Amino acid sequence: MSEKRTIAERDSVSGMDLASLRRKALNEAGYQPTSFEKAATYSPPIDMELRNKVSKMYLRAVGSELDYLCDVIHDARRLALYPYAAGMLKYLLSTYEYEEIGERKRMIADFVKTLFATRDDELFKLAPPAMLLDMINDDANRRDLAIYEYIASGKKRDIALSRHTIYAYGLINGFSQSDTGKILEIVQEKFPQAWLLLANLYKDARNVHYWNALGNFLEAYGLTPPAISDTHSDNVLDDFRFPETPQLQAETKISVIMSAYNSSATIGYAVNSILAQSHGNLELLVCDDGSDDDTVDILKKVGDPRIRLFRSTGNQGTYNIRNAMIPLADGDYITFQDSDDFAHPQRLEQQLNDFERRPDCKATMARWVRVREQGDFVFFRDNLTVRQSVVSLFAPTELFKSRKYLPLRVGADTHFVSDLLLEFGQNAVAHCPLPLIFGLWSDVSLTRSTTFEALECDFIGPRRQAVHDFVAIQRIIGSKYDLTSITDEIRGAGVMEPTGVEEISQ
Amino acid sequence: MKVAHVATYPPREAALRQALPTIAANVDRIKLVLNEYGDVPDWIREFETVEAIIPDTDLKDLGKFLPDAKPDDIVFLCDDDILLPADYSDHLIGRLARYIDLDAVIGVHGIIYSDFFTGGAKQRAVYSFRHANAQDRVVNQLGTGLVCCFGYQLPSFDYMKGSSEYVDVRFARHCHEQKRPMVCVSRKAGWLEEIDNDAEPIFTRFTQSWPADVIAECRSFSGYRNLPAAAARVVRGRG
Repeated sequence: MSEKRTIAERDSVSGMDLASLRRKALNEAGYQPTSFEKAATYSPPIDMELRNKVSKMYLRAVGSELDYLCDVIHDARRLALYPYAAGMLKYLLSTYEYEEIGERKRMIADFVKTLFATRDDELFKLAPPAMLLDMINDDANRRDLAIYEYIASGKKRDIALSRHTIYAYGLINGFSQSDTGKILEIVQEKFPQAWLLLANLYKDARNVHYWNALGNFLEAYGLTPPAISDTHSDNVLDDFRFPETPQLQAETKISVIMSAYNSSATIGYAVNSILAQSHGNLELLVCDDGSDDDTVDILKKVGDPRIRLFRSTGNQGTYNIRNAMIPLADGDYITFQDSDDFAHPQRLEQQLNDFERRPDCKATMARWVRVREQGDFVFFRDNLTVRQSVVSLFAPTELFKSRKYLPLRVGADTHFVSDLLLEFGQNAVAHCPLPLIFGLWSDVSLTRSTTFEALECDFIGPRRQAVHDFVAIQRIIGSKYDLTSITDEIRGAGVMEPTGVEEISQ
Repeated sequence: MKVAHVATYPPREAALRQALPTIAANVDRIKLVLNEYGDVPDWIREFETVEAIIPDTDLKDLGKFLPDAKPDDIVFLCDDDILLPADYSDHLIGRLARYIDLDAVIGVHGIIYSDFFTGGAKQRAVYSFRHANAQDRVVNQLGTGLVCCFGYQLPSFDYMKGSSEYVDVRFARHCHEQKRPMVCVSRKAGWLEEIDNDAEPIFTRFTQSWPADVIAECRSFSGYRNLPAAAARVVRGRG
């Protein structure tokens, strides 16, 4: 009836010991941490308020599992943790048929937003028939379903999806000329971005109506309008001309940092738009990130003493370049510019004014408008084209010199801002409402490249999402608990090795 | 064959004296792992259906996973300090059958962790065996003292090694990896009775302060985002 068994020696080391043991073994094997492991040791400030809010389970939080899940899914979406939102939503959908109409509407709203961000087919498959029926019986939801089907079918990945765009185009096309004018007047008074809808109608001709619409848009924000351009380049930003403005010789010096990789087609207008700023006391630090085109040659020919040229040793990504260039900046303030974006001539002047008006703030960010090479302004699924630009972060030099960007391929500027908000409070970064940058929405930009994309229809590519999740989760729960979430997506492509920069003589 | 796997140690002997008959009444055979025992006590020898196993090291709660099981056995993982009602095995086997197409593992004490779990007790929704549960529900983890599954669904002892004192976490991870839903069954309050005993429960010694590695392991299967949504819908409809 009984027996004595001999068991091989059991692994009796505790979990904590195993972690130490692994580190010891790696050290003894001469293992050198990669940039990824270095990034993994990044310890952002933990947002305890958020952690407490999202991590307490429903029995302790709000009483109902449904309310709890709706709240947490909302928080996850707000943090752009879409895989989390999708996973939780899949479970929540199983309760759809048992919920009241109010809860059903909440669920549908979360479903639509998460579906567009993730294009997670399983989410779509798990949608209960009752929910799809409810959606089909609602105009806005029916349109969302049709749009999603259109995207998912692969017919076109980046269709402009704004309901507002569709609605406005419908208005414009469905009414007489005079009625259209009246409607536009009303719309534009309350919604200046509608001028860019009008500009989009004339993008092919790119005629006087196009430039006037753009000018009216900028004037609605109190900004100088562009001149009417008589050229028609492949990239509309090459045709942006602004009347020469007298440069203010202020005492305050601003350093603008720009990285450039194979940017020969765009670097000219990007650099000139900075050098033509109304705030003339500036330096432009440009670093070529291992281009194999003639970006450097173009830069050498600019011939402005305010430019300082640098070169990466190999390709290291824009955020490593920022980390290397910030200590070299000589200005009182630092800001950034992408090598394919066009800065409005009042950008630096307005950002400096904005910062000085808000003594309690540590930094300020402006807005931008994304524009395709062909000239059409990009409206996103939230109906807006004027959007916050983290690239435009503008702050005193000492703020940047006391911290670093994560060595990620994408998204490190968003995390940089999040860290500032956590450290100094939610109002630490001012939001200048002016559209001061025109960003190129190009098929070849990182924002549009497969797996790293962040599209106007809300879709976020899996690699961009993985990198984002990795950092965002650490911000909520701390770095030590979630090493399981490190995926090949991050390990393989999300982190760039810093290589340093050297100055080039001009 | 209905087989119970139970692990115990000497300080729990009084409790086991009460629990063992209720377990025996529910199953055909009991595989009893006697940690820290030198020999099998006489009173245990009197149970004809008990096969006692004395390991050469103290396996603690890991002992439940030591005995071999035939793939077609119906295995009950049982605690040594809970009195099982007469309809216990029938109720759980009924659920095993109800969800047979899901390949589900059945239990009575379920936990859903927060998707942002960092080890805090408040970051869990616990469907405790002490309380009523109005309907069956999928959970992240089942307490392995009140589990019913097929023999083939048990992880190997090698898989469980190193998880002593957090076997529930390792077992749940195994089910998650094997895509087996864990279903916490409906029942009335007071269906099961816990025996008061002086032996220190694992909860106070361990569960309240988990090592980071255990939390990380738990996060690999925990949260609503990791619940099997399709199975949840089936359970919701049938349960």
